[in-house]
Parts: sequence; structure tokens; C-alpha cells
Amino acid sequence: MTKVRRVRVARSDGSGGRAVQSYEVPEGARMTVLDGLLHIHRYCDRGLAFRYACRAGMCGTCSVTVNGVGRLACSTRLSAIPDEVVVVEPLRHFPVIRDLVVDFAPFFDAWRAVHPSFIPASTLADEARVQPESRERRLIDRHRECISCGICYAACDVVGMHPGFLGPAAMTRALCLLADSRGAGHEERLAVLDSARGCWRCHTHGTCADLCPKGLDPTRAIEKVKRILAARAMRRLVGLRPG
Amino acid sequence: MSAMLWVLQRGSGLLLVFLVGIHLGVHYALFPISLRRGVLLGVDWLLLGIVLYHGCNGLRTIAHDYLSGPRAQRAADWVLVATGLGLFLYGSWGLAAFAR
Amino acid sequence: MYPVPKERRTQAYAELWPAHPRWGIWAWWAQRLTGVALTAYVVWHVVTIARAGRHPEALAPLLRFLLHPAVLIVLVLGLAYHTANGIRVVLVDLGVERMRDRRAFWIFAALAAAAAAAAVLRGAFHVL
Repeated sequence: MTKVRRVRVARSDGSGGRAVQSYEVPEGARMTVLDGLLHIHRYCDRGLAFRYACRAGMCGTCSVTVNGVGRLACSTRLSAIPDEVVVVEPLRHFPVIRDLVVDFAPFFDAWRAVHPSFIPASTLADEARVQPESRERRLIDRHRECISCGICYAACDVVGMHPGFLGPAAMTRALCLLADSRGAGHEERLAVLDSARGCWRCHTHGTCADLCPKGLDPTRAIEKVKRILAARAMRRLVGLRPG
Repeated sequence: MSAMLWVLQRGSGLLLVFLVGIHLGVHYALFPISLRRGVLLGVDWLLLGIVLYHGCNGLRTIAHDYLSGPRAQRAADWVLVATGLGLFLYGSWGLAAFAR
Repeated sequence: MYPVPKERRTQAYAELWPAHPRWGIWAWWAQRLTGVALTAYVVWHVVTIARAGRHPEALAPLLRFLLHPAVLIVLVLGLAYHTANGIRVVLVDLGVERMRDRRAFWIFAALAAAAAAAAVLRGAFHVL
């Protein structure tokens, strides 16, 4: 007989009230939380709202809170959750639109604030290269593969305290572009990273790095940003041109 | 400015390891170090200034964590600067009494 | 602070309890608490020593209080923790990634405890 797992899902209509509904989901061998949600939608409640796309851990669309921890629903096996009851809630720190669907506006607001697209420097030679073995390339590679799932943003306690705080993802993205020797726009990015919404509010808790489904380390990236800003400030103090 | 405050908090912390070490070491006779009175007074005065900076800056970080408006944050900054400076002046005056 | 439109604000208060409790967050909390406590102590210390300097008769009881084993233990424990974790944090800030894990924290905590014990034994009990 297939094991049955109780799955409780937070339901809301976005007006503020929230209720938790319980469903019984037959648990197959390699079923994920997303499979559970799809089962609930198909056989129990057609009104359940949730997001997903690739179902393979690549797009970052299906991020939810599972038993208090931000996770990609498609990559979280029901068998890997030790508690008897699985509780699925929307991501923390995001305004809820309906049920598990949240408004990513604050996240992308912070993302846009760091000028997240590559701006080529006007002084570029014809073929500007970043050598694969170079320090620059290794630094960027370490932090580049963000899928903007928002789990780090949901995990960050500082985001909970300061809604305008840039958050781990935006600042990691900023570092990737800052480190790119072919690019421009560094002054604008550094200004926003130095501001009241920037890196100085990060207290190096490391929860973002713990929970990133791609294994990225935003804590480390933000520490690097702090060192860059600190070096600039000290150089400026001594009278040297900012590097 | 935030960058310099961040750097100075770390720098002052490291300096304090030595200054507090000497302060405790001498006043509690923890290690056989003997400093000339003038030198000890100088160390204690340096300690006074640096520990007040480190403490007030630490309180500033905490205040900025819990206050979200720029006006509230600036007000907290001024309160901390005034308190820190005031204590430093009072403490310097107090230390001077031991110089005689 | 960046003005966030009201409809985007998810919380009106600051979170005191972490969303994902980790050892690192408790270490940080302890750093803050010891920092605040030590700052309060420093303020008290500055004021009382300044007064004792002008009124020498107040100096002796003050020193007796400071040298009391119970006082010394609390102060030294708080100071030792704050110092040890502080050094670890400075190393992390300088880029030493290995200082970010739990083992590094406990090694520093142990060093702090050892230094604190030595200081208390020597200072209060005149042993060592």
C-alpha cells in the first residue's frame, strides 16, 4: 500500500487572511514537494495556486517554504523531509498574491538597483577577454550561477528587518559585474552597495549560503564587496586614486 | 563613511585586545609587567578613547538595525556621538586626577 | 532608508527571533549582548574611576568590588567571549573562509575560556 503523507498548505487570497488546509498525498518513491502540489491540484483542489516551470531545479520558479525552510519544490524529495507532516507556505519576506504565489517585485527592485546588466567599458579593445584561469574569472564563476529563486532573500533576517535592503542575490550579482574588467558602471554599483540599503547591514549570518539551491555563497560575495568598499575608502583617505 | 566606520570597528577591536590586556594585566597584577606611571596613564587614556569609539559604534550598528527612517538613524548617530565624546572628556578629566 | 511603498512592506517591526536558527546567529547575538553589557560596564567604570580619582576614599571599596571573584568572573567571561569571537569575525572579514565554520568558533571559544580561567585564577585567587 502506498504510504500517505499529510501535506498542509497555506491558503490565502492575498487580502491578508491565511488559512492552512490539510491534504492526504500518496507518497511515491521519488516524489517531490512539487509532485505533491501537482497531486493536490489535480485531485483535491483545482483552486490551489503555485508556480513551477522547468521541474528540474534550473529555473528558480517553484521556490516555497517547506517546514520553515526555503526550498525549490521540484528539488525537495518528500522522503528527505524528516517530519511526519509536510507544511508548505509561501516564501518569507515577499507579499503574497495568492496561496503559494508571491510578488517578486521587492526582489527585482533590489536586483535592478545594482545595474544588473553588463555595461561594456568605452575603452574596450576589439576582443576584450577574461582568461578562464585568471583570478577575475575564478571569482566571477564562484558567484555567477544565480537562478534568482529568491530563497536567499527569504532566508535573510536583515531583509525581514529592512524591506529596502538589497539582499544577498542582488549584491552577489553586483559583485560579478564589479569584478568584470571589461565592464563599466562600477561607480554607480558601488554607490548603491555603500548606501543605507547596501552591504553594511549584512551581519554575515550565512543563512543565505546555507540554503542556496545552487550552492552559491552570497555571504562570501558580500564580504568581498565590503572589502572592496573598505579598500576604496582607505585609499581615498590616504589620497590615492580609487582602484 | 560607513566603510571607514566598519574598518575602524575592526581596527579598534584589534587594538583593544592589547590595550585591555595591558590594562587588566597591570591593574590586576596578572603578569610581571611594570610600566612607568606616565606610560600607564597614556595607555589608559588611549584605551578610554578607543573603547568608547568601539562601544558607541557598536551601539550605532544595533540602532541602525532597528531604526528604519533616515531621520531616526541620524538622531541616534548624534546621541551616540554626544554621549561618546562627553564620556571621553569626563573620563580624561577623571584620569588627570591620577597624574599627580 | 530607502522608501519602500507601503504595499511592498512585509513587516512593520524588526525580527528579534531568527527565521532559520543557526549556530552563527547565536554567536552573533552573544557578540552583541556581551558588547552592550561591556559598553554599559565601561560607562560605569569611567564614571566611578573619575569620581574615585577626586575622592580617594572611594577608591579602595571600588577596587575591592572590582577584584571580587564573582565580578571578575562575569566580566572576564563576557570580555573573553567578545574578544575571541571578535578576532574570528575580523579574520572572516579579511577573507579567511575557514573561520566561518562551527569548528573554528569552538576553537576560539575554548581559547577564550582558557584565557579567562587563567586570568580569574591569577587575578582573584592568586593561584598560577
